[in-house]
Amino acid sequence: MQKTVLSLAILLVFFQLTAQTERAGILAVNEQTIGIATGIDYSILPLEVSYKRGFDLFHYKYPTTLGVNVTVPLFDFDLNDFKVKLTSEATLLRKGNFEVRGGIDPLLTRIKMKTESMTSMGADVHLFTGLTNKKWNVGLEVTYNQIFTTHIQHTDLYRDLVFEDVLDGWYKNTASNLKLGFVVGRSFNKFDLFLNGGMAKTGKMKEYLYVPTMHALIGANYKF
Amino acid sequence: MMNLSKLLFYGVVLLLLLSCGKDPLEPNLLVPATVDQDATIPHFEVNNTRLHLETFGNSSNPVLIFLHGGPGTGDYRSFSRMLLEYDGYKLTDEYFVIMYDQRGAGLSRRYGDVVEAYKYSVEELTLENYLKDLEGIVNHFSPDEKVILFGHSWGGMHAMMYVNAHPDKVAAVILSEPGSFNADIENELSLTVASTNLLGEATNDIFWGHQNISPNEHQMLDYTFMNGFYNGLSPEYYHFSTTDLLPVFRFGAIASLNDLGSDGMDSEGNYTFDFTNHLDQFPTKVLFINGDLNEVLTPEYQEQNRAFLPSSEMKIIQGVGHDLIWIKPADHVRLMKTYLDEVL
Repeated sequence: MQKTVLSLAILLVFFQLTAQTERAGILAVNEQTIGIATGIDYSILPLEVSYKRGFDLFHYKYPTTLGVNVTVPLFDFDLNDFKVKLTSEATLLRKGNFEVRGGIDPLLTRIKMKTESMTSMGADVHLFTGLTNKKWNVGLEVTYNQIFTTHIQHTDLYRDLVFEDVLDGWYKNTASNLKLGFVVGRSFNKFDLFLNGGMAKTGKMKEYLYVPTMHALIGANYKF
Repeated sequence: MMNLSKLLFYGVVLLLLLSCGKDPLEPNLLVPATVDQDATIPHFEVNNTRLHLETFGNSSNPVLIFLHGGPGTGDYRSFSRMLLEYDGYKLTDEYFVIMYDQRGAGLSRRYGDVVEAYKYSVEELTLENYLKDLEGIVNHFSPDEKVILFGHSWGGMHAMMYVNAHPDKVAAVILSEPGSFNADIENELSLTVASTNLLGEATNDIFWGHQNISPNEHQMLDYTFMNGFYNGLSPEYYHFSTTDLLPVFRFGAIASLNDLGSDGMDSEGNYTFDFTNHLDQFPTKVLFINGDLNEVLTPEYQEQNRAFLPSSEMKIIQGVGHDLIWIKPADHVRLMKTYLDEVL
């Protein structure tokens, strides 16, 4: 499955079609995309599937993109581990090719482990600053993630081995994560390709047990 | 604009609702309280710290002190099966047993913060303080008589640190898969990540879980460490049991990251300690116990430690890895009784 996703992404690089949108990586009103991405992003080779659509919201002078992302870790695939994110993005500032875009993405993420299962609700706030034209989209992106509340349900294993009286239930403000990195996008006729990567920081933690402190995603969107 | 205002209002209300819930940093919610947070936990004040400590048996018997592994990644709960009766005998029949969680571990006092720990520079978590804590315990519980030390893994190193400093105060030593006695041996150990499956479910679970729990503070870091250990991230070369897992009171994550601290290693993580320079003053026979599955702390590796203790003896327990104290407590008690009957 992972090989299929990677092969598809690499093949898409060679699609050289003609028509162009106004700005690479930005949807016009009523324009839609479906996309896939993979790489390293809180998992090694996750699969991210997305749908986006451009809207004219509140008569704002630029189109607003709304969508949904579903991400699952691929290894030992388990439907108990997933993330659903409602995405939004709008241009905040445009001067020639220079552009600042941002958005707030409410999200729900879930994980089930041997010791507990956790379901979290929070949001990503992201800001892109860079240059865009019809074909290219290059810049820096910062994403701050805040989890507002997490429901934790422990297993008997945790109660037996660590803490018998652990309390299940909702816990507030359990996580914050920061990602800072570059974004490169190239627009083709019906496809947008993108690559982003950089540092990823969870709390104050530098590293632990071989978990990378980085993110890197390669993906493609099909426009219709 | 009206629509936008309503949207913002509902957004703020939603955020407030979502922020409801218990504080994950409160003791006794996700992780147990320590001796600083719950005065009813048995404890002992020594060397300006408060340790989770319990005694078992008759205080008039010879003192037998257990030193757990780590630093930080273990506590004395792992020794609890050693107190049970095997073949009609239990250690407390003959010995006054003392078990305690070292500073920064188990239910003992927490120290340092996440950032310091990565630099091996937590001020209170040093070899000097680990030694002073044990000196205080020995001086309090056995001021006039020699003590018996039992150490597992890092606890074995800790025991030898004490023997090296006070060879005249130790009557016997039992070492269950101890770590290295000096930096030369420890720096040669190849503790690599080679056996960890980066593409496996365990690694991905812990990575994915960062979106749910961030280790910003002690409690959350301890919780994350426990998740890592019990979801399969411990190195395979230690061959821990997968069906009868080693329990803990709490993982002392900061103490674990801080490792031996600033007087046991340099800021690059190279070890500098030496617990061997006075071992020639300790002629007593020492008992080594090893499992046969551990791929790192093997009987062959222990020969380097045993070179400093010419009269030592090695006993192998079959079919067990580094959690041998938990999996094979009866074998330990039997070997200890035989050994102590001989040397005391």
